[in-house]
Amino acid sequence: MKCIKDKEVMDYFNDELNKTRKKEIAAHLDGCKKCREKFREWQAIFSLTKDYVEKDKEDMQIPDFNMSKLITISDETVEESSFSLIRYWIKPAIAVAAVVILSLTFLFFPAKKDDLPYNDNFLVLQDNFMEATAPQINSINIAYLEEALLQEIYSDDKLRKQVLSGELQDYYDIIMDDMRYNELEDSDLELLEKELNKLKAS
Amino acid sequence: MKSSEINSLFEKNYKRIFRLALKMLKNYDDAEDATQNIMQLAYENLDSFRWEAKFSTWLYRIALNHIYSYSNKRKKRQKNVSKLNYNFPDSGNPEKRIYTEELFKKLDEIIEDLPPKQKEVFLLRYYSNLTFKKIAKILHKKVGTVKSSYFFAMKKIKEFFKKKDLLDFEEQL
Repeated sequence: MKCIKDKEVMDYFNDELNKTRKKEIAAHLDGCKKCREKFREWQAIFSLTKDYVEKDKEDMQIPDFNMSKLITISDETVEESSFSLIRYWIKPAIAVAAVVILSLTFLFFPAKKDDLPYNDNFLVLQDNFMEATAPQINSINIAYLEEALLQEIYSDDKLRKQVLSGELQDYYDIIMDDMRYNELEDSDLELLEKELNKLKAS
Repeated sequence: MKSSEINSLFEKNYKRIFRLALKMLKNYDDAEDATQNIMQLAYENLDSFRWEAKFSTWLYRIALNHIYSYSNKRKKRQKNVSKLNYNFPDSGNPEKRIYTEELFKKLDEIIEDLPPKQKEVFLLRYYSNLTFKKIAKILHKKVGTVKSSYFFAMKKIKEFFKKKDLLDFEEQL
C-alpha cells in the first residue's frame, strides 16, 4: 500500500472514512514509520485545536435568547405600518424605485466578483431573500491565490515537469489532492498519471 | 408550524449563530447585535422560507450574509476590536497553564488570519458543529471544495506549529 496522503489523514481524524479503509490504514501504519510520524503530528494538531475550541466556547458568555423580544419588535412594526395608509403605498413605490435605480447602477457599473450579494434596502432584500447566497466575499482570498497557483503550474511546462517529477513534492501533493477532491474527470487524472510515469521512466 | 416549534428552532440555533458571529466579529457587543438582527430578520421572513429546505441551512445563509455585511460596515467606523482572553482556572500546574495559554493565543492568531473562505469553513465546522455536507449546502459548494478549504486551514495550523517546533507540545508538558 502507498503511503497515506495528508488529506486522507485528515479524513481519518474527522471520521470521514469507511471501516475497510480505516483497517487498511491501521495495517499500513504498523509497518510504516514515516506515516506513523505523520499521524502523530496530525493527531497533536487536531487535539490542540479541539482543546482550544472547547476552552474558547466555554469562556464565551452567550447572552440569553429571548424569543418574545423578536415577537415584540415584529408586532410593533406590523402595528405601526397598519396605522398608516400612506406607508402602505410608499413601500411598494420605494421598492420599485430601488429596483429601477439598482438595475441602472448595474448597467453602468457591472458588479465586481467580490461584491456583497447583500443589499441594504430591506424591501429589495425581502424579494431576493431566498436567492441570497451569503459567502461570496472574497476580497483577499488566499484560497483563490492557491487556485491561481495551480493554474500557473498547469500552464508552465518547466514548472509542471518539476512538479510531476517530484522535485517539488509539495506542489505535486497539492495538485493530486486538489484533483481528487474536486472530482476531476478520470481522463484528466489518467493523462496526468501517464505524463508522470513517462517522466519517471526517463 | 406551531409557534412552540418555531420557538425551539430559533433557540436551538441561537448559541451556534452567536458563537459564529463572535468569532467573526471579535467583539461581544457586535456579536450580540448581529445575532439579534439575524434572528429578527429570519423571524420576519419566515413567510418566505420554503419548509422543504432545512431551517438551519436557511438561517446560516442569512447569518453569514448579515455577519459579512455587518463586518464590512464596521470596518469603516471601527477598526480596533477587543482581543479575547482565556480564562483558565488558577488550580493545576502553572507552567502548563501558561504554556497552554500561549499555544491557544497563537492558534487564535492563525485562525484570525486565515483567508475568508477557509476561516468560514473552519468556524462552521468547529464552532457551529456542522458536518461537511451541511456546510457545503449552506455555502452552495461541493463537499470536496469545503473539505479542501478545511484542509488548507488545518495545514496552515500544522505548518505554523511545525515550523516553530511546537508539535511536541504534549511531551513538553
